[in-house]
Amino acid sequence: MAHDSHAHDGAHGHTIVPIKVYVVTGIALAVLMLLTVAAAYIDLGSMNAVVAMVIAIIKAGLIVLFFMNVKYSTRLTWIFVASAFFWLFILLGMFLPDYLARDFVHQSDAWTSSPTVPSVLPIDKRVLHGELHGHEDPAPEH
Amino acid sequence: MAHSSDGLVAHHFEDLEQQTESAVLGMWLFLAQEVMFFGGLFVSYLVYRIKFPDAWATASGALNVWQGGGNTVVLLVSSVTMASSVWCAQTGRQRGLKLGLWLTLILGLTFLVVKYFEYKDKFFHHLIPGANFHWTGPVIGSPTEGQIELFFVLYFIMTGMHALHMIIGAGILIWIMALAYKGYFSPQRYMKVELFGFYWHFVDIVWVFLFPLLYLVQRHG
Repeated sequence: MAHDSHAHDGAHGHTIVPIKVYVVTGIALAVLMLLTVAAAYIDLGSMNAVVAMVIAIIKAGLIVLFFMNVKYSTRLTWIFVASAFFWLFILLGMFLPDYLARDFVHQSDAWTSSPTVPSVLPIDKRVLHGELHGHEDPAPEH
Repeated sequence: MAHSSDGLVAHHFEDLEQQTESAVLGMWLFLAQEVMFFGGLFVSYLVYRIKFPDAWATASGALNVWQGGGNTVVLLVSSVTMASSVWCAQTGRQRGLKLGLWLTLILGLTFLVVKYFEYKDKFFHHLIPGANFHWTGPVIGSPTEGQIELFFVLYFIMTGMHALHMIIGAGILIWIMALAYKGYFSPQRYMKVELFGFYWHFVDIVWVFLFPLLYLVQRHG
């Protein structure tokens, strides 16, 4: 069978991506990986994390587009793929502003220490009489 | 359109192309769920990293960049071999398909072996969260031992879930290899290989993010 130099339709309209694409993508990923490690050892301050994440996103993008053939897929497939990362974006976008903003109101320990509860809660009378066997949790945690 | 692939198209699809696309869409729905699953873990990591930067910088130093980086390369190459296996299945190259699947499996198992040595190393350095956790290494900034332990809680959960996905993937891969040896795959019938490839590439993507986030926190002097 002749070597394919470009993507062509398979037996049922499904694009066959030539193997060369996979090898080149793999090499690009390896280069980006070395870049990630090299950049980690240079002091870029707070940009270190940003650089690392940008490179990781590019690598993930290459894997999705080429290894997972999304670049050669139908628009409907693109929508499904985009939705997955869109929901992830919502997850990140709602969590981070919440936690980052907690410091604004001088309650930086609000979510590392226990919530404020009234110090007097109804105590199970059986505790006072020593009738519980240790595996129940009659009193609230400190 | 004449169905030269009689028996390959389920009755509720118009043609093979529609069946193929719906299989791909179904797989992406599953992967979308996986993205959210790991996404939750990543968000936990992110929140505590922002809260305890000193602990994260300190704890990350205990991880071996050679092992983590080496594993990254191993998975990367395994993705190339897996994608190549799919190409072989699509073009009827039976021997190439089997070779590609074998290489993918061997690389996947290599990853797990390296992971085993990493975990073993953590055990002997008292870095498994729990009663025996004790930090004895250099410290960056002023973290508490509890915060460092928290890093390792997330480290073990995230890499543990990832390793579990690799193990499951290896199991499915062996099944795909068994099918390949039975001559199951052809240019008309290869979707199992392609869809499994999606899963394998996804597990690779998760590691692409895990590696810098866990191993490369403030590595510069």
